[in-house]
Amino acid sequence: MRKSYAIILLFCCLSAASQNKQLLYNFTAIPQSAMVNPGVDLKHNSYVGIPLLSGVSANFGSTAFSAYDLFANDGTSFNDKLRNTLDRVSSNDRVLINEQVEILSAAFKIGRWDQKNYLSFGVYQEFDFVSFVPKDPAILALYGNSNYIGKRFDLSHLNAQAELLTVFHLGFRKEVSDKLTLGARGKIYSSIAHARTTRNSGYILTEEGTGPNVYDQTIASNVTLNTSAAAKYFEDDYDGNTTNDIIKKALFGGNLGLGLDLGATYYPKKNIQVTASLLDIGFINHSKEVKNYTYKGFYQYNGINPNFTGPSTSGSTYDEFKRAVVYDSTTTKYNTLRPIKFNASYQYSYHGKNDESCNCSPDSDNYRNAIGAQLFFQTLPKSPTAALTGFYQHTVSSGFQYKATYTIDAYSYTNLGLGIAGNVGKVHAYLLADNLLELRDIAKANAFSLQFGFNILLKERTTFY
Amino acid sequence: MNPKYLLKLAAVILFCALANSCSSDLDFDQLNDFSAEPEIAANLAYFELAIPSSISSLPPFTSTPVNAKFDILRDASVSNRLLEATLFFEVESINVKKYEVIVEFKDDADQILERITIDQNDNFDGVNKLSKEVTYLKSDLDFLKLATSIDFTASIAPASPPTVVNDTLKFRSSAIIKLALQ
Repeated sequence: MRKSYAIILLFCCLSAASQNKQLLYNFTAIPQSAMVNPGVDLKHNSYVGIPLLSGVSANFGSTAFSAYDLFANDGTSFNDKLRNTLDRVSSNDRVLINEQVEILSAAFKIGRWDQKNYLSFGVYQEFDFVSFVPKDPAILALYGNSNYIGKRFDLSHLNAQAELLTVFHLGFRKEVSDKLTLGARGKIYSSIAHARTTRNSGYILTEEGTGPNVYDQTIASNVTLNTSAAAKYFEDDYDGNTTNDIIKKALFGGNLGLGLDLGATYYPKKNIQVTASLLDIGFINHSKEVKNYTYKGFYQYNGINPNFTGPSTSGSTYDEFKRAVVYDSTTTKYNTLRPIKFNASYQYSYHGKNDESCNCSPDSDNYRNAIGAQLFFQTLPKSPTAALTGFYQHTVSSGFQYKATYTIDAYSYTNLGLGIAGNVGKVHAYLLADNLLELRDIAKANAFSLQFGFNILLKERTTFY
Repeated sequence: MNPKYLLKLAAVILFCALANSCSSDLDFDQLNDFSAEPEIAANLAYFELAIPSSISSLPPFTSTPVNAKFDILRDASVSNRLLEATLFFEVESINVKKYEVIVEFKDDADQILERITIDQNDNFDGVNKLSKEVTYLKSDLDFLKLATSIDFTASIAPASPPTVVNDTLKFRSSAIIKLALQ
């Protein structure tokens, strides 16, 4: 039952989430845009997020297949769909899932009334999953090697990572001048559960025999699975309280790490804005409840070789293999780097409320429209992923703003997104969704993301008294 | 265009996109239907046996049976999923034309579970090779699960005129096993 609970929990997280938040990035009407650029030039700087509802985001991306490709209820057998999908994917195709829920979030103005310094803090829960398609191991499992004589089954195709964690953060943002805003955020990661198998190498090869055997068969394996606080939930004799366990680990009881976010906004001209941010420069030290599993070794399998001239004995092939390719489990601690995200944008604003003769501050508040481009990079275990976004942003009033995006990335060439944000009185809400064209049939979508949240805006002191 | 109209339009588009989102019929229970029948090819055994010069004439020569441990199917995760097995044998000899190789699968009690003979009745390539392929299905596979050793015996039939000496019997075999994964 507990195992089922753990699996359900995992799938809840899975079903809920790539980490490119192109709609949220630099959407200055949303306080949570500070989470993707600590140096953002926000419209609403002081706020308190409504607990658990201030920032909910789910992001899913698959470069090669959709849920429909595998699970369509169309009369075709699942096994045929699985094989057809496997035939057209490559080992560079991947599935990315990210989910975040803000538990607490707030920001306040600090310092003198005439200074624009802001302190932000909060807690959020995050789930990250990335897996490259393990093409060769999957072919071996589905078809075997008999029709693939000469093929080197590459074990480095086994490349996946998953982590459930809580992040505590404290940030500081300062408007250094009318042209420049800088921000930084420190993070403490509390990893609830983690598993990765990303640094694998080796191969399984069967070739036509060149010696006395029918085949030349080689297994070279260097496969490692690192887990922390994850293995026990799947053990038959686990009798702990999963919920309490997870809550405890979420509150600094897990494997801890440190991280840093950096961001900046710069106005080279009154209506030109350049921003950049670097997120999750950090690591987690996995030292508690660590279980590492390794399959390492080299073995050339020759089969049985009876000895007619010597003693009439022959060793155990099975034992010989186990001695050569050793399965081991250790509790050695390990470190992981968080997936680093880089965002940058260039924005041109026009149709200002003020004309060129205006002697007003050079911030985007003075303009109703903005167009621009954004760039996104994220490190992944095998190779980084990138996205390019073009956007249009319109300010209807000081309370309402919307943003439309077109994004090209590895998952889609038709990614249109739309987000709106506004406040009624002190209550602020936002809703962002991308891949709108694919929403026509979400089962066939290769990528999708949805973000929403509610905040209470706080009044800032802008005068001496 | 009126900005408020634009906002309403954006909101309508967003909500329509979300509200009118639909999904083709999916059936995740199909995972339970997963099955695969991988065919694994592997070496089974090999040896090279020098024919002693002393058998250049009658009487016949029979090697002492050599017993070899057989445990590549010992792992239950393999043996319990065994669906089909095809064993392939090949014997090569340059000069000795009349011979046989006997392969006997035995259990722990040294009982013969299966005997396979490769002799002149099998496929001859017209030059110097004999080969044989045997496929086992269902209950016929039991001997592979129960066998713990294999005896190999090579026999040279009496020859007249005497067989040319200085020869080597080259034996090699492989297996293709089909497994049922679900």
